Amino acid sequence: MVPLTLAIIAINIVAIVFAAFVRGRAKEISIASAALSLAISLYMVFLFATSGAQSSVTYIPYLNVALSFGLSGISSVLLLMAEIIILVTAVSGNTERAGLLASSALISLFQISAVGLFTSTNLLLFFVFWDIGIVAMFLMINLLGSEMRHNASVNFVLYELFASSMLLLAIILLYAYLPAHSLNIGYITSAAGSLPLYIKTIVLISMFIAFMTNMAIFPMHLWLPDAYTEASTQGSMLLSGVLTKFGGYGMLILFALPIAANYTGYVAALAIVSVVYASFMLIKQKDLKRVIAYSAMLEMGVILVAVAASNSIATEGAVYGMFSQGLSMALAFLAVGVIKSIYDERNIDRLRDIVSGARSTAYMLAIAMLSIIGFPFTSGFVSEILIFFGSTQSFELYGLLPLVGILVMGGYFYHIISRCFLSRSRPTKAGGSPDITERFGFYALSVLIVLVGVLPFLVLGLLKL
Amino acid sequence: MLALFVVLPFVLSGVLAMLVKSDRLAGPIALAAGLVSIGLVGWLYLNNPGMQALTWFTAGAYPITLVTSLSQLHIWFLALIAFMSTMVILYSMGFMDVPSERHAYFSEISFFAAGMMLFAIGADLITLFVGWELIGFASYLLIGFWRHRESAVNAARKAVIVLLIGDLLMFSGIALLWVQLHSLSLAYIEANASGYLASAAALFIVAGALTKSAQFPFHEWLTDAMEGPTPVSALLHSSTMVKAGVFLAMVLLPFLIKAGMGPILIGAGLISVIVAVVNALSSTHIKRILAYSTIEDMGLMFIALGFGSLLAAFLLFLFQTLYKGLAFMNAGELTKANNDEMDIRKLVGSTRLAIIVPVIIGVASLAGVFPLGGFFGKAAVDSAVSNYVVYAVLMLVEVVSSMYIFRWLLVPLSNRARSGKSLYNEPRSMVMAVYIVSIGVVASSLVWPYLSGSSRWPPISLLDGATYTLMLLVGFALSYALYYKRIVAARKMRSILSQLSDISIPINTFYGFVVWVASKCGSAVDEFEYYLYSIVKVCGHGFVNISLLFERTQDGSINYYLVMFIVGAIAAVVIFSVI
Repeated sequence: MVPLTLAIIAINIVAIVFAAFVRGRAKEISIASAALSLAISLYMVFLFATSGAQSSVTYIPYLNVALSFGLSGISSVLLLMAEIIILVTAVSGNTERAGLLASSALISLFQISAVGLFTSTNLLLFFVFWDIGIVAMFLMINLLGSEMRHNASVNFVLYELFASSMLLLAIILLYAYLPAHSLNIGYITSAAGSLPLYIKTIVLISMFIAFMTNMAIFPMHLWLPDAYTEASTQGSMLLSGVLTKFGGYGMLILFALPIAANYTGYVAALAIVSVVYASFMLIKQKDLKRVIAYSAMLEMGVILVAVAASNSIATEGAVYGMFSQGLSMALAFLAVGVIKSIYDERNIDRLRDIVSGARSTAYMLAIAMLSIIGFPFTSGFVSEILIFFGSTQSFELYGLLPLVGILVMGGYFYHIISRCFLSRSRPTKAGGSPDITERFGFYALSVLIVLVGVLPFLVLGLLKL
Repeated sequence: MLALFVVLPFVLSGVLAMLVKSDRLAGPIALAAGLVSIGLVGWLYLNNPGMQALTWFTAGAYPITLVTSLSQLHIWFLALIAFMSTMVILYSMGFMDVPSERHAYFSEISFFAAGMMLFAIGADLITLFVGWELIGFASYLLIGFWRHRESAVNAARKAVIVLLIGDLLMFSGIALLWVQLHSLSLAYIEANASGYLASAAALFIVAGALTKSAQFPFHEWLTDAMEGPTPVSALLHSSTMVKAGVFLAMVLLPFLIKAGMGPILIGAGLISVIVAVVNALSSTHIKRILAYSTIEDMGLMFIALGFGSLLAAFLLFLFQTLYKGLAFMNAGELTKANNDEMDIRKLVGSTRLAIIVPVIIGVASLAGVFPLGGFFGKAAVDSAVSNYVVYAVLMLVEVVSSMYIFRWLLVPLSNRARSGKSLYNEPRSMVMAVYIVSIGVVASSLVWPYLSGSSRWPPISLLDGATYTLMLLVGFALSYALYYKRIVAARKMRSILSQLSDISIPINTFYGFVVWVASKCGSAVDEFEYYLYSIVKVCGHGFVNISLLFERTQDGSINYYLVMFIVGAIAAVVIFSVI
């Protein structure tokens, strides 16, 4: 049986080609392909839930590499998250109303990468799709971003290429030293324990650096602020919603290997430093988009703490946290993009009384912010419970340290809500309102955030499979 | 059927008031929800379903369960919330006379009441925490309700950030308890928590409770919260919000005492009480004085809890709800009659019987005049105190306390004696609410010994009652002489008070300092990031320079290539011949 992942990839390739020919309908084509991909992904998850099927096709026989695709509880959650965010982005991400063809084609390209990465059960395939994602994102920033986009995109791609070279190093070492010369993730997990110690250490360090760069953990985060800020709304949504989850997913794979157990404390310490660092960077930002960018960095640090705690609750928390954070970040960037198009302004010193000028947008940004700081009945609340219960279980009181970062961030968020949303002194003049596509994005994401926050077992049930 | 349905009326009215966007309908919708809630609480009282549990989701292998309980404590708290919320809504229907804002106001106040009822019904820490966060956010919106005033928005921000600290402290405590017990139901915690992690958890939870109940050093948000509309203050200070912290300490009391939190509760309460009475005496803002009085009352409750007397704290809890609600409603009437003037030195009171009787009832109960409720509550707290130093301090505090509250009453009246104006013309719904709450104050004072569980009410010794009344009279005499008869000239009084100074200033300076430190840390990190970026840039330039170095070897000149080729060939020949 041909893997369904290949079907999604084929659909998206067809969509890209089609879009090139039918330029005027590029956006509709990308929406259709995204919707179709979401439907197929749902069917894949359904198949996995009922029968647990995996499928593979031989790819490079003499390297023992097969096009093997399959799902686990973790990857099905992340796959659905990626598909939902990509669909929403395809519909509503283009708040700048520019570069329709490029934006649609790149969404399809990015979709190939996301679907392939979250379903592949082979590390080499993982690497291939990882690089496709980097290329798609580089083009997205470079072609569609704002003034400083060239700098930002080159900065981004250098960091990410460094990361993927590190990943490649680890892959080559694993391939060379594992007895069966197979890169199947399941096999690696069972056999990595028998590797010589220095190989284990090199593999661990290089993979850790690779994933940490992608997740934007201090000190490998320098690509993040510019990339997020200079990318178009669509770019930021996909970057924060999906691309940084590549690294998070990789971290989960890495910490499932029997080579990382002795280093969890150091990793958690680094993650906590990253969280606090991001929170203090955040409070110095005046640009709304930069604030959200640093909060994304902060949240990924919190997720890394959970990954490092590596007990069952913390792992659930990490996946749930990535799901929740993906949705809320996408919503936040969408709302900021709409605010920019309504007010032509993102500086929090000059935005006032958004609640009156752009009511729904303000509500959405508030929902996203509240979800990020873990307000009840948003998905962030459940992820906060899982993450901190899990990390406290492994690290006791130290597991609570990331709350300092969340406190600083929360304080600044409330400062922004007070000044930019509520305060009525010298209100800023609004010019326009979100259109139907943006409203679709608002409602889809916010309803999901609240739904998953009220009924967490929708995600947790899938995750526990 | 879960008892959680008791929050539904207010949730529905919150949504409806938001959706209908009608200034005329919003008030009645909220009022109807309030009345239905009162009915539901009564029904629950008669058909008590006891403890109920609902598994929300599973974390790892352990269920996260929402537990509701309707113990005596819970049901009385629910009843107080339902009653006071309804009264405040009734009062607001007259008070809120800005039509364009009414639907938002009634929607927010409904959500606030719903969150509060969810909190009041919780018997596990997750339910309590959900309610806790909801009321924090709702109070943020209500305090900052007059959005056109920068000061209101700033006060709301201050409140919500202090409350956020409390949220995270409480959450830390919950996480620590969960790790130890893997269950968060209150009964289980009280039975099983022990060890150093449990003590740490208790400390976090107590600190969280202190933020919500506006105790030292987290108390300043409450006095700034005066920027909110007066009915909001009436609600925040009486049955809801500040009571949440005390209630949390109450339901966890055996655990907290076992974890050694008694002295901390007493200490925090005592400092808060002293700070509150001194500030109340030097303040001239009519609502701010009442706010300091709330801090004092909460401090008294924490002292009683610290001595392990749940019932003494609860008795004051019960009466404080009613008299503080009434006092704020009276303050609202007074300021409305004086064009929103807030300075008691400029306010003009009225001696019309219909106005003055509720005012006197409120003040008398607040001051603790026998036989009104406040007397029993405060005397019960005094009886619970078993430490002579604390007792002596409390006696002193009570003199000052009675001084400032009679000052609150007498100064506007003495203004009237001077200028003789009386401008009262209040909307009927406000007057009605004031009357009903006044009746509630009097009735509760009379019937409380006969209420259910009366055999378990705390003992109030006659001596404590007599001492208390003596202190009260001393305070009243001082107040009458100083503020009504004005035996000391006003200017002289002011200079004496400025000696006392405003204790809130150093606290606010401290808050400012914390923000300053955070901002400085931000700048330092920002600078660090710049250096980090520079290092990366230098590395980048390094690579460029290396490439420039080798660029010269491929500059396209054939001669150069030829020379290099010959040199290489010779070198190769030499090397190979040597080998």
